[in-house]
Amino acid sequence: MAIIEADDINVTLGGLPILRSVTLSVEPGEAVALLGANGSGKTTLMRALLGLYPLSHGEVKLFGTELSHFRQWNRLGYVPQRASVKVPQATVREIVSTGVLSSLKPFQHIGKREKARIDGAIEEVGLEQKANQPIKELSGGQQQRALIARALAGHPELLMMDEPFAGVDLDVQASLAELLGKLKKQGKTLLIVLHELGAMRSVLDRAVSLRGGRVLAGVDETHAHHETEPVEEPDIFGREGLE
Amino acid sequence: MIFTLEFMQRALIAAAIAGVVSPTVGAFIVQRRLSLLGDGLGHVAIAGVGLALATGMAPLPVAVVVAILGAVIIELLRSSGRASADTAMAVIFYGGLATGILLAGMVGQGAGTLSSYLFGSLLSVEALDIWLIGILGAAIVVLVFGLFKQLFAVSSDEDYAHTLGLNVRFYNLLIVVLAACTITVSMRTVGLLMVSALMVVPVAASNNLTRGFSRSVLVAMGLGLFSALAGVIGSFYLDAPPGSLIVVITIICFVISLPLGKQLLRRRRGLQVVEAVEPPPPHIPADEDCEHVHGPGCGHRAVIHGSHVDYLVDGHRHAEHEGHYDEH
Repeated sequence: MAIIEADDINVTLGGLPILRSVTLSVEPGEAVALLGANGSGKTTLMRALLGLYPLSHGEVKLFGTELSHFRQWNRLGYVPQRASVKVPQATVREIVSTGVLSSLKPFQHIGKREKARIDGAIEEVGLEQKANQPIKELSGGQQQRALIARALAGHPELLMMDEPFAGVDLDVQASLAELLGKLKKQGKTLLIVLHELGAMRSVLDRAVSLRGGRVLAGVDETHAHHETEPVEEPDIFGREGLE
Repeated sequence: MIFTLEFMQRALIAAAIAGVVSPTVGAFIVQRRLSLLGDGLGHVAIAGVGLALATGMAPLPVAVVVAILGAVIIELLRSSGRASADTAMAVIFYGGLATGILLAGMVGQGAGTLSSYLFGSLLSVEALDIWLIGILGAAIVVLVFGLFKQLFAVSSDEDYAHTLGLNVRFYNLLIVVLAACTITVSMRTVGLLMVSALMVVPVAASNNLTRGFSRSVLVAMGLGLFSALAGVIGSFYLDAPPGSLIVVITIICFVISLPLGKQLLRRRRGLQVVEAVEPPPPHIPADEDCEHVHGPGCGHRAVIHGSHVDYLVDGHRHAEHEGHYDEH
């Protein structure tokens, strides 16, 4: 059974069609990239798969359940772009701790099991030394690691990451790719929005390329032997992915 | 002794509750960049006070109901994301203020009576109010701390909170409803025109002094309690409305927190580290006249530069080299 299944989905934002009849499926244990230029709809697709944007047509199933009935949020971990955290003075541990909330009820306290998961996730991404530092004092790569740890704290089977390499140095990208490779080996399914394959080439099983809100058929950059980057498309909507 | 006066005891209890409760909700309001929302809700609550004065009901319960209603409408408008929402909120805020003053005026209770609600008053806290303030305050604290993690998750990253399966709309609504209740808790002592200062300013001061969100909330509660009690006691001697003094004290705390926070930050971070550049810098003797020997406390700031320590002189880094200093 596919972990993610999008069947002929359309997303329209502000009257503009952003995604057009996108069909996608991701199998357990796969590492898949969503590739495309700015404005190609890759971030919109990820957000639509998470239910953050309404669908104007089609259906999304996560773990076999239609999105509006999906309740097993602890099975997936979302890693948004790192500018998304709005509490700069919160510590790494505080940010990572929110990751276990998908399996906690309101008024329920963080118990031993959750605490162990939080510590484990911080250790997994190598931020033990920074755990009690405010997230604003961290470098871009470290902030990205903190957000990955937050997603890992819920022990998800599926990680969905939105441009984890945006604004981080090449060597940091390589070390993040190494971390993601390790997670894939642990059996986690990865769906990653990327601007270019870069350091992730060796980790990925395949890539889905988007252009103008459609999936490009038969293009799989991971198996292409040339090193070209995806072509910079002029943004047909005149704005950046509508974020 | 002022503590034996019954009205002062009531005022102090009411102020203490307001001082502790306001920053707990305020922390989330500040996080959500809604610092001015509290001010608007205060205006809406004035309509409730006016209504109570006009109909002869008890002001506090009516203000609670009206403020909660206003909060729900404002949150629905805000989350609709429409461009007209901003204007609609302004209409509600000024509508509340004007309606309150108009209703109070119509029954002959002019600005005089209303002013004790606008700026706070030591004499206006009645025994029944203390009970209501106490119950509301306890309910707010139980909700905020019981749902602390959820409220933090929603305030820090709404989209991520959604993917945790949290009901983001519910928690957003809860935050503004809690703010509305907090305003009515504080209105007797701080006054409706300044209530949001007690929610926001202690949090802002605490953010300068502390690291970490939960710790910042605890320190803000302490600052709120201190400001509220000091304001009430001071206003007794100054014969001024307590609200103004409470707010002035919170702002003094904030102003002190600015340099103090910077100093704390410097001490915590210790020496600043500059990554060593590759290849090693060429040998350039420093041209500045550096008579003295650099060392701890020489007046120049020390930075760690790769394997050694440099000293900052007029924006240059000086490194010791065989009895003289090199430019680094």
